[in-house]
Amino acid sequence: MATEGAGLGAAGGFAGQEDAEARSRGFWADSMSRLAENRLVLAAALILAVLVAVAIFAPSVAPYDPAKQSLAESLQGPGARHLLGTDEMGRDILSRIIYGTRISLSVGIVSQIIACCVGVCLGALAGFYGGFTDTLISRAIEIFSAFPELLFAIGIMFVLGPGVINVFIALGLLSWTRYARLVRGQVMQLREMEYAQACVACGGSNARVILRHLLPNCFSTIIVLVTLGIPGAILMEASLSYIGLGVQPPTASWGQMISAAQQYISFYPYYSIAPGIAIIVTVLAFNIFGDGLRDALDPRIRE
Amino acid sequence: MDTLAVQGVPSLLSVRNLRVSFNMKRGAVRAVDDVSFEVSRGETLGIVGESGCGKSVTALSIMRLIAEPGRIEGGQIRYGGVNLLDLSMREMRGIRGNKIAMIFQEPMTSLNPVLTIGSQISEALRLHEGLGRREALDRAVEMLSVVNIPMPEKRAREYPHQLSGGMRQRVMIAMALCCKPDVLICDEPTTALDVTIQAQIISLIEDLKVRTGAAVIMITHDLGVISEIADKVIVMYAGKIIEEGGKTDVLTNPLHPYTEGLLNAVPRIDRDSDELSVIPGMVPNLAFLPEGCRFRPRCRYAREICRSAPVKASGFGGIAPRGVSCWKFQPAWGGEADV
Amino acid sequence: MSDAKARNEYFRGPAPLTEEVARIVEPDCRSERLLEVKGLKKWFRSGSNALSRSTGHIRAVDGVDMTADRGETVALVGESGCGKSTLGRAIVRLLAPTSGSVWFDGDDLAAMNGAALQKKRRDMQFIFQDPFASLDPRMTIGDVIGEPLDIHRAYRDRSERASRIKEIMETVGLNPGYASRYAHEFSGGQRQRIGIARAIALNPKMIVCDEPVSALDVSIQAQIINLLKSLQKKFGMAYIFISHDLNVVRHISDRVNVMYLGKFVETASKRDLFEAPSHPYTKALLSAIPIYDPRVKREKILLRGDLPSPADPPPGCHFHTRCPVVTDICREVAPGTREVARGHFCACHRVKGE
Repeated sequence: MATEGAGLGAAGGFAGQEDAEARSRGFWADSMSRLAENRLVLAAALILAVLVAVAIFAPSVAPYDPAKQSLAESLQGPGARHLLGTDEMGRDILSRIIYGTRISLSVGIVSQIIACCVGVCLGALAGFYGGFTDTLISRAIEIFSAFPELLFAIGIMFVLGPGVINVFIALGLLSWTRYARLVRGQVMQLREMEYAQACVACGGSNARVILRHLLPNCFSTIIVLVTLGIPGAILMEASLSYIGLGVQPPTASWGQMISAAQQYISFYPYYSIAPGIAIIVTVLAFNIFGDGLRDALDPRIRE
Repeated sequence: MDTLAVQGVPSLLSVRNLRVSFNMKRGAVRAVDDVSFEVSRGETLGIVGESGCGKSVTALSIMRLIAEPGRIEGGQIRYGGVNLLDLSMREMRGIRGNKIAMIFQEPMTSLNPVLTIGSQISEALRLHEGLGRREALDRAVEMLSVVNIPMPEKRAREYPHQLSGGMRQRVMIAMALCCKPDVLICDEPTTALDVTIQAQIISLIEDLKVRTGAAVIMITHDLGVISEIADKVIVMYAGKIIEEGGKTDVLTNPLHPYTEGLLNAVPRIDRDSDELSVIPGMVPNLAFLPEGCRFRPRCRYAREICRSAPVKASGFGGIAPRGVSCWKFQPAWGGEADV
Repeated sequence: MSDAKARNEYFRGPAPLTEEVARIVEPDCRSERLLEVKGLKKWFRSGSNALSRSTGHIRAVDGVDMTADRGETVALVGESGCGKSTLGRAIVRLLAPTSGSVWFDGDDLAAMNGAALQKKRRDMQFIFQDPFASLDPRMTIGDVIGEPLDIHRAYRDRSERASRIKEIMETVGLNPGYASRYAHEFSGGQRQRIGIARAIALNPKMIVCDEPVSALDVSIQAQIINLLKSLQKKFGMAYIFISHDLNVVRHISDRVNVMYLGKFVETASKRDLFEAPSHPYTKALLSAIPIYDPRVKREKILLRGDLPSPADPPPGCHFHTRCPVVTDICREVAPGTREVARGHFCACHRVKGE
């Protein structure tokens, strides 16, 4: 019994073969199955999938060209011809909302990807190296987050000028600090974990430690932050377009539609209600999905 | 010699056929299965086993501190003529900390970080003995000096984080003993401590036991600690008692193959050996227990008969009642061939 | 760089005259000594606490000399807070030493940096105490074990990498079929095997083991200790074995260093230390270990009080606050290290040298 066979676990099966029933699912499979258990989150995911599909296939989904004007049909109520009615130029509101999905989703996603890239890089550097690097980046984070969000966005748009690309940049600059702050804290904490130390002890470079060990372990938090950041960006784009600094006509955008609709709100409410509902549904769906994702990925809930 | 005084004394606390289960996602898991033992005044019972054997759950059951998803399924815990399992939670609170006290492995998490040591000890005194604030604090300081804490007045005004690990464990002991309990349950009290501090704590517990005449239940994974402090021992494996008896009997003449393996597997300062003998494999998952004897897959004596559950064999002489749950000690073992 | 090279040669002894001579002399010239630590200090600043205004230092390791030969197991023993873990980490440069030198296989690790140090790490590895924290939860264990191979490009192609990982897993008693599983699916003992597999992957000359079995159950401890011993027999690496458990240390080590508050108080072969301990701290430590045989009765030396804080170590001999045989001189003068018997060193005023 005291032979090396037993010591190495070679005899009578390798150590731990008896736990063959142990779940061999990976982290993601595990998290996704937990995600799927929540009905509400599932519904939100479904809505998001539909929105994405609508955005992609807008030309085939929309009944009309969103820019096609027909002054004879302006400001019609919902009806068989125009399901949600028409606007002051006689453009089909449903078609404009469908095309607006493209703008809203792309603004939300692209701006958060920009913010995420900037924030994660700077946050990881600050958290990993500490010292002067950290001081520098931390001060930058503080300065950027000291301004009220909307004013800050308006300021950037004034400098850059209106347009979709500029909205991406402005909103990206607005929200990178959230990513940086979070990643910095996480990296600081994870850096002391023994598995990161183990990589150093094996001769791994700093880049390797950061890219292979620290960031992948921040990934679930980052993805949750992206999901929760998108609705904020969508709302911000709507605000910017509402005051005329965002997406420019004739491109359809939900915020800009509400802006245009406000002068008709007393006698023709459909015009503003429809894009309003679109915004609310999208933002809610993202928020619910993001919360669900956070619960599903949270390591404290695991096991 | 160590338990002679105990013979004939009625037991103070007796646990009979205790069964505790936990409701897990994939069904109920029985963490403690048909466990029975008793302790008398002035006696120390050691409960040994590896993690997951059910020793801590047993202790928590005595305190009725099993929380969801755990549930005490059956059995009796008799103390002072009543079954603790029949008491209401309110009645139980009168017993807990007052008649039966417990100290835990990690003293830091058992102490409230925002209250001073003195106020935490006096809280129990005010609760159970109805003492006034001043009186209770004086008693708390007195208790601190009983557990050999230097400068007790000063320490009573300090917060848990200002104390070292050994000091905190002394505070826990002081808290446990301040109402002069009949039974003191120690759940791995020295595992988080260094050996020199462990030696101090063990001798303190021993000393206090003699002075107060309390019964001590010492739960540990360390057979060395058992050898130092216990009078009798029960060895647990996967929720069941597999061997019991007087300390000297169990440690020098283990009957169950698991006890034997455990004693051989530890590197020992009093014995030189090149290679440690090993118990192959690991403790079974309670949700997937092997049929029959739970130690069978790791047992080097296992035979076909071990596929059915072993019955307890007893009557091997010795100071305390001796028992072992293994087929080796049954007449049926005799002629059968090895598997 | 040339400075380091000069020191390097000094360490190795006089440079051979010609290559030919070198080839002949090489086996003898190459010292059996693998590691030589001289005057190593690691202090941490402790001024960050706003409440205590002192900007002092925690002297976790305060001037340590130690050696290890090839294939030898040297233990660092002491209670928590004595600095043994810090010393282990400073040796392999997971922490940068405050001062002192760490000569390892011809180079001073304390003076190395960057790529040269990363390359040197191939020969020295580390096994961590906590088998749960030391494995990246997002990596399969095949990747965990393969990582040192990746870092040092120790294979030609994917298939060689896979077969090497398989081989290592078999060596440490893990089923190679589990290579694609994640760490959380394994028990503590198996995880520690994975950590060991990672450490031996590059066939290092030295492994620092930081309490590798103290988080494990008794029956699993024995399996891991046997594994470590058999690996040493097979590959001949040296172990620096950090532990608080003297039972384990006695079982596995050749030589033992007893550490107290950042300094070595006694260094001796295993035999000398356990049979004829000379420092009062070592004696107390040994007597405090519970003996498994209840029939054996012995006198226990119970130490008073706790380990003092390394931020504010007592003057003179660090141990004098708890020492049972303390005298006046111990309170004032720090004792030097003396050789009390051949290869047996002790730092105590009360112990006479021979």
